[in-house]
Amino acid sequence: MRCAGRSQQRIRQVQADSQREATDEGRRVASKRACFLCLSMPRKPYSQPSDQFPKDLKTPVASNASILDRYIPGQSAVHTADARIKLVITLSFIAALSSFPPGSWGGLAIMGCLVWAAALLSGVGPLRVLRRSFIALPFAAVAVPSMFSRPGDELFALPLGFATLTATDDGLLFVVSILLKSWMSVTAAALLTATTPFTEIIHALRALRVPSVLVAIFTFMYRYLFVLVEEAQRLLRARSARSAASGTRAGGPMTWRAKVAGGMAGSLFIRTFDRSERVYMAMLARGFDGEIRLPSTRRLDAGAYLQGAAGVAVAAITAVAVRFT
Amino acid sequence: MNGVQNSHAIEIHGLSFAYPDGREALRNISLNVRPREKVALVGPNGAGKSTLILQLNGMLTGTGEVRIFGENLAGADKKTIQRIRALVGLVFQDPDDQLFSPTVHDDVAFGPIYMGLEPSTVEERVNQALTAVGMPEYGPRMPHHLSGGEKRRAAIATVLSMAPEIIAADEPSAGLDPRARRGLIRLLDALPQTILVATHDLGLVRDVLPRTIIMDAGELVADGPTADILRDEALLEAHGLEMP
Repeated sequence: MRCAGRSQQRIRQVQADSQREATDEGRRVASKRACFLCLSMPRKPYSQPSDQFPKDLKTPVASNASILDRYIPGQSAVHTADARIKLVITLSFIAALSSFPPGSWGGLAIMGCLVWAAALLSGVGPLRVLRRSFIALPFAAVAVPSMFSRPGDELFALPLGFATLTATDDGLLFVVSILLKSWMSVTAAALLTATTPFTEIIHALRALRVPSVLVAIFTFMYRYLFVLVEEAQRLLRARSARSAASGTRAGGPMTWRAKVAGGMAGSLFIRTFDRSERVYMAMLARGFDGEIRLPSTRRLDAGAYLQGAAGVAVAAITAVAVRFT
Repeated sequence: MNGVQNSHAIEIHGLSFAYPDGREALRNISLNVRPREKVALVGPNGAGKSTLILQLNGMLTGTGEVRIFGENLAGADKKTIQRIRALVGLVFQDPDDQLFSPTVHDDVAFGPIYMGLEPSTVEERVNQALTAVGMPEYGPRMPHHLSGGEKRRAAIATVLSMAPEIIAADEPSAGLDPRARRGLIRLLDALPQTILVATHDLGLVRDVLPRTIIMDAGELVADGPTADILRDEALLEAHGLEMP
């Protein structure tokens, strides 16, 4: 089957559009849209949705929400250690880090070596850990203004017209310390989530006597985040599938598009709300009585206790040493 | 178990129900189901099938009588309702609603935990239920990593673990591919419980459920042996159904 003349031109445009679109989430939709107009169109190979963990987190994965999964399977000692122990060590590590006064480079070096030794041992891959460790860095940027607000010797001045910002050496020390501390804390947390399935982290929180309502909220959030993301993807796909471009005024005016987006958000909210009702019914049907009860957890063996104690001791000793030297 | 020796597993008499918005979903329904009977509930969308299923363990309560093994749901106290909920396992239409725990194991353990069973018994029940649906090694898996058919079977395991006398499933075969559907049919066929299935899948009805009840607009319009009902083309057509 061949298309001729005008429609050929139109198809070329659609094709160009679909190539542009293919860089984002609409890969499959775009090729389908083109095929809809003319069956002789070259098709992009239909990519099977995969349950594999994506190599690059930026690559759109046709199937759903596996990007949300932080866990990278492995057999290393870091992977096989009990989640409770890992959680306790990570938390004490972060607590020790945050107790460091600004400029405790020795302590930071020790902690850095420890967390990166664990990262290398885990076999997750240093690059992947590094990339994930930068996730929360933007939040640490709130510390940057203290470079100018802390008293100390002047380093440089930023004239802003109405005022002049003066950076001080103490300020700089403070900011660099905070950035390093938060970066290492996030690295440790990223390592924990990369080597521990989320379900085990939840069990660990429960074992550590985190209030069960809180644990239940995490649990539901984790379970339904995937469902919600898939629902949102379905909505987006349905929109992309109907937003074919035919001429110069493609896409519609901004206000209209905003209205569509608003409608989608509202529809997603209502679907989520309905689902929460149904989930609650499903819980009631199986005897839920308002009190949260969770399955019992395994006992820890002596070796695990020893591991945990050693980890916490290292963190505590470093923290104390940094304080008093 | 209380009243199991009674001759009917489900006894419904003069049941009517209207949703808060005034829509009448059930009108004067009366039916009996014997223990171990396998019954299909068919009818067009909005016929009241799902609503009827939700009445079976007091998720919704209308006017009229619903008795489960002789125990009346109307005006039952909380304890009785909890006991009836252990007797009637509901499998909801969307397995994503039914599977609300982070792992399959935790989900299958949910019912037994709320029945107040010992942890060792809970584990035993979980293993039995997962084995019954052919998924013994799926305990640690996360529900969002399961396929549609696996989710559906896991959802059935979540009620099997409560060892119910009655299983009521809402459109269990919807959205399954032929192989997953076949697996489900085999599973439903093998289950020893009293089974009530609301479905549009008349193939499933023909294969597994010897008795069929047709509902339309909240009323019970036919009740009889599946073979007879599926042969009555005029009846099927009148209620928006199609021969398998």
